[in-house]
Amino acid sequence: MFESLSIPISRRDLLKLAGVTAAGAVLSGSSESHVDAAEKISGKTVSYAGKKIPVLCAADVCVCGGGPAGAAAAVNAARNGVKVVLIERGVALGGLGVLGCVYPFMDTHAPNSDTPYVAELKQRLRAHGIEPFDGVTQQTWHNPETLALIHDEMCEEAGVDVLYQTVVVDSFTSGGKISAVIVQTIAGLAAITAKTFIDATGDAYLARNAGVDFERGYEKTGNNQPLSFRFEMGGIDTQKLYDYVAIELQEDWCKSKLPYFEIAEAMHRKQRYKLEEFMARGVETGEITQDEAEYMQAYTIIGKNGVMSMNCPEIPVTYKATDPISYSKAVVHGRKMMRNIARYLVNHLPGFENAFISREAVMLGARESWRIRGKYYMVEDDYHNQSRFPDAVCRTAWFIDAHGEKVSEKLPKGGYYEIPYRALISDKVSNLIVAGRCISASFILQASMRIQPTCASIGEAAGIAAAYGIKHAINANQIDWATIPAKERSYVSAG
Amino acid sequence: MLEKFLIPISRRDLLKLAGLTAAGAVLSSKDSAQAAPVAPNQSFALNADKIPVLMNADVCVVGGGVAGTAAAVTAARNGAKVVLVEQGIVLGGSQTQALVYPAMPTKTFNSDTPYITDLNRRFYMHGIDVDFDSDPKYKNGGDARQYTPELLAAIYDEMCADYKVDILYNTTLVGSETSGGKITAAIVHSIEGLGKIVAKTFIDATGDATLSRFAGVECIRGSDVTGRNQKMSFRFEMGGVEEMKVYKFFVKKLKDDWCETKPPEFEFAKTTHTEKFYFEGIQRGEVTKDDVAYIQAFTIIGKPGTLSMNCPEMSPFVYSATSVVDRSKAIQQGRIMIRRLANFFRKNIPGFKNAFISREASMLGVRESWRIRGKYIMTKDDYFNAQKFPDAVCRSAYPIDIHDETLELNRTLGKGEFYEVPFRALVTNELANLLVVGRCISTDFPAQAAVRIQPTCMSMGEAAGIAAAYALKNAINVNAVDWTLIPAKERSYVSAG
Repeated sequence: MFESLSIPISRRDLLKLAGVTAAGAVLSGSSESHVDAAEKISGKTVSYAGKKIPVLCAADVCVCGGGPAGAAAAVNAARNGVKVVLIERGVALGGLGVLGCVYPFMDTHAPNSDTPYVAELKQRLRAHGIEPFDGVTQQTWHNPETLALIHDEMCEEAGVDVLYQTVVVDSFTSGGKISAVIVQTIAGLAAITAKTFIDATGDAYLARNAGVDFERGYEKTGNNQPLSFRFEMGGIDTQKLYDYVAIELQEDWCKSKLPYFEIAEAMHRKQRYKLEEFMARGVETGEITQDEAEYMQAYTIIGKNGVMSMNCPEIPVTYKATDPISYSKAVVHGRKMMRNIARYLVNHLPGFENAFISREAVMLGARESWRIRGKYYMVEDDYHNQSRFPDAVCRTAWFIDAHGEKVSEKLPKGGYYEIPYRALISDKVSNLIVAGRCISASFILQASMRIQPTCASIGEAAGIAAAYGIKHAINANQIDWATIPAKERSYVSAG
Repeated sequence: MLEKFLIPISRRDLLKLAGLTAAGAVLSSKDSAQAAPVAPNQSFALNADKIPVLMNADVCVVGGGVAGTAAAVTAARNGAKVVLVEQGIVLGGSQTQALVYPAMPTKTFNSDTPYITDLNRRFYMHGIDVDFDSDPKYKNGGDARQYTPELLAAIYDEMCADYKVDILYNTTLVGSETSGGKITAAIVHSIEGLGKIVAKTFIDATGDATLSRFAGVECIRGSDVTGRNQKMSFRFEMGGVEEMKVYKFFVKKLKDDWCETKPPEFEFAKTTHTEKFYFEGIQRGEVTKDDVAYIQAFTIIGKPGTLSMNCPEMSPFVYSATSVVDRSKAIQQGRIMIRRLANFFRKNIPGFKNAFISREASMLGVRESWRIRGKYIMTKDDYFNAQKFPDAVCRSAYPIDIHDETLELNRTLGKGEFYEVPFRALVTNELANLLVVGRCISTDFPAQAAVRIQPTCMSMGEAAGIAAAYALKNAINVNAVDWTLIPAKERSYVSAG
């Protein structure tokens, strides 16, 4: 017999939910009568959409979304003594950093920005033989398959129950409080109850569903940030590529050396890259389109010799990250762009002669979709003014990187701004914390705070706060981060 | 503004859709009258009337796997307006997401239906020849096809574009509406919120009979002997492999005769010749008995130095394919097993010295979960009798392949023998406008173990697409379609019976 979820639900209930019914018994298909039997045992069902569905588990903290922010939130809440369930739609944690092929992690450019969880991730990568430090920059060069394993390990050690292949569909909210989320599992709909919920969906799905105010896109154009459809290519002779780009073309964009090597070009940036001409030639010959030539970037992956992580294609902004139909079309369009770019590189870029697409991302790289309006709304001035907050949960100095709309200057060396806890919570829902790219920030400011280490630090703080609130019987949206003892906090403002 | 889907959405629906997000509340399930906290049997009032219509189609196919893609493409090719709902961002399901490669062989001649021929032609146009029927080397016919996952993904998109199938990616089925013995709408979850897809005919290609279960169709799961589902696998790929060295190790050193071909087309497996090699690994503590319960690896055409690993297999005693908790735990355990296996290969097989895990599957390989009870239930006797049906939609001689030694029915068909799959196994008595395709059609447990392979699932999907379009044109219910009455030239398969 399998181990149960560590969150107690009655044993017989679990048997029922797990589908260990009488051998090959005919179930009358609908989840309804499946559940009728369970109800007789425990009475643990709820009605939803006219049907009785099981309560799958009752947790202290329910984290929706297992990306960089959600995985951090879940592990940190659990380490602080509460029972946590983490809901993930895919079969791996890490979100964009694993399923979206977004690596390495960008650099915060801020001194001492690593919160304990982020530092631990790097340490665990090292322990698995993946050195994340390239010797020059502060980018985190990770390996997606190793990171997926590390996330699983951390969840197991912390006692987080992970529910894979489970999608958050709806919530039950009344009186400004979420009491349950409705999820679709392989077995059908189910409810999960919790005291505190953390929305780490990236799309503010739970927050929107529960009635929190939100925004999307750039107020001036209505566009979201562009989506990317990232992929990996194998069979690359990286030494030959290095010799061509770094030595022959004398491109000095990449500061580090093999095995930490990247190539890039971005036509919309002020900076001029040597490979722009190379991509422009492809447009002239008709082998690639202007859209495909606009942005091309590739990074080696530590532990995967001859494989590079392709930070492209960038899909035109006419495709929207907040419209399901447009998103679907972006997938099809992006896949065509991907194959065109790959073919062009194979045909013309030294080192790529025998290369092939070895893996496509299993989610699009959404930089921005929906953002909540929380207790504090971060704006562009917070970046330029290097704002500090007593309730700060982390710091960053990554530049304003709104592809196609605005790219800011970097902050002066040593400069940074902080992110307040109040940007994670709202007046509307008392037991909800939002973590990741969808916190309360303007489009322009979000373009700076959206990178993975920052999202992980935000998640870490959300997990700590959720546990603290439950222990001290304080609503999540009334917690004053500054009053949590400094040694329990992942970050203390530099004021 | 971006072009919308080809299928017209009514203006009102569009407005509703726009209103949905502007309001900030996705669903009106938050009546303040329904007070917190959750108590047993409390009602969550999902108000289905408030869910906007996302799409309106002739045929809605749920699930873009092997069978669903075939169904969608074929229905569209026959003139229906089709929407294909897929949870991920790639079509192909087990092929592209679970990394089940290559497609297992039907082991019989003339099993290729026109859709498969079209798919193979498209592969050929992209430089990969998968048509072995004419190759004298494959004397039994219907051999395994090497559909490179990433190329297959692009070809499926291309087919959908050619025949004007609207794909709705990143969208999950979460419910259905039924009325008068028909499904009227599928309720789906997208990044934006919940939406309805209204259609005249629905095709359940979820693999788990999810739509059928939502709509109230009777379902069965697992073996009626053991109660267990078939084993799941968590497949992965390894890159940086020197195939020739691997070949020499197995064929020359271990004297294994499992594989008849040489690199670049090569496979190895745990066989009687090689089991000692794995057993020693267990003794040294490098792998567990479960890790090496089943081992197989294939080279991949178009991905030199990369092997598709048909392992680890997850113990059916521990992990049920029909439990969400089990599937979650199988993923976590499977990932640890993948890591141990990769380290074991690296350490012990020349040619794996510099190898690495290049890709993990993005869905578990599920052989069997739920199966519907349809108008006809295929049984193991249909297999043993090499049964023919007037309303057959395809043929196969693939054996009953249960991956459970206690249940293996070792009798295989004689040379040249094959069985057929009847159309009636794809439809139900309960729902007039539902077709079910893929591994979850109406069969008993052993028969499912034979019909579950990719080419058979494709042919079923193709037939369902034809039947759906035919029923719409002739204004009959799909569950009342008599496949034998469809003109032979419009059918993808005509019984040999």
